[in-house]
Amino acid sequence: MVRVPATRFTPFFSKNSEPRNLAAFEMDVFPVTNGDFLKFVTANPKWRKSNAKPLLCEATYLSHWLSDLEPGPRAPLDAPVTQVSWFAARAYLQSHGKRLPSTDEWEAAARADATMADASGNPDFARQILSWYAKPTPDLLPSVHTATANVFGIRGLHGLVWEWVNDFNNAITTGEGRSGSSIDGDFFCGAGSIASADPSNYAAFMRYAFRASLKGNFCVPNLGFRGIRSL
Amino acid sequence: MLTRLLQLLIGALLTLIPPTAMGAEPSAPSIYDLDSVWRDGSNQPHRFSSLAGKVRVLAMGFTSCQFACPRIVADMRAIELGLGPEAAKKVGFTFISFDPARDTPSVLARYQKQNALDHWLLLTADTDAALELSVALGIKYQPTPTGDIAHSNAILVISPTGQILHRQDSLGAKPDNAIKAIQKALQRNPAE
Repeated sequence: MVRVPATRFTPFFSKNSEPRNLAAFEMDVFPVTNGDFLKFVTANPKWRKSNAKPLLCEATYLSHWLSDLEPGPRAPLDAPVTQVSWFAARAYLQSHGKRLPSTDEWEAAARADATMADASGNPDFARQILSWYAKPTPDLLPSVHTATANVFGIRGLHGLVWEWVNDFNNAITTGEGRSGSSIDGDFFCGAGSIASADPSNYAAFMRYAFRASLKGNFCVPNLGFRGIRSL
Repeated sequence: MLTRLLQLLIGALLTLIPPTAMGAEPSAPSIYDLDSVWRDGSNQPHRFSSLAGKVRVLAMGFTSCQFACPRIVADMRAIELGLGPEAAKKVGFTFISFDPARDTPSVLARYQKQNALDHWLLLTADTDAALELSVALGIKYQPTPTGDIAHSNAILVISPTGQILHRQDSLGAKPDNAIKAIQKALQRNPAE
């Protein structure tokens, strides 16, 4: 794990608020791999795919694995593990004394490029991320070791897979974005204060939209995770 | 050719038998597959899975909410009243906090008394258990900088085995559909 220092951070959906202090934390250098996850399910039978509960993992949980304890050719051991739910990711990390990052923590780590802690003003960086988003997910995910490090030494926050965050469910937006920017006041108590702070950051917007579309038991082919620890 | 026809026929006949009659596990998600531990207004612990066994009307909120939660509680009361006393006593009215920092068991007890929520179950745990439950139930909430919590306004009807039978999302909605769902569930599962 490597250290991400304390920083000031303006959350994406908070038009009227000040930047907040974000405490330092340690983050996994790589996302969790199939090999890592295999060790976990070997030691924890209730998280093997044939035992998983539908509340916690939808039917596609680890569906690319050959069997409970065989990732097989479609799940290389050093590729990021995908098709794991939020509940499964949390159980894995809890067993390692770690937790999922909050959205703010993940975004603070991910706004760094190879040389700067905050590269959000760099259009090349944004363009690079968006061009990755434009590519379809490859059939076989690459090894996590192909990812380059950002200035903190963290690899693959962009360019490998989307990653779970602990508070993905906290984006108060409606599913139907075309109905306008107002949030259905009937559905959400206190919704008036929530709006986007930086409409030019399209990559961040896509990540927020993606997270808002998730449910906790979803197992998605290009969604994995990594862990962090508070300091 | 004939064996294939026979297979199809048997297959078709088997689909007429409800899976539960065949002893199969319901494959629909059950919210009682969570094993977090909660406390009620008397500080008694409840493992979440122990809430199974009766039809429940369940909502999440927080007691210091000035806006929607009083309405949510009123909407749950409307369901309770609409059911009539005979049916209502077979249903567990459950209000769960996602603000454990402020909603301690004694705060819940006071809220329960102030709002005359007799026979209701009010529960609080820790922030992680509340987050996990809200994700499992599909209820969104987001703390705001002012100390408020923006949240979705869902009232759920839950079967005795933990399936979500009905969801009421709008404040002030008529209780009729929730009542129908509850009555149907009570018919399928006659309680003591």
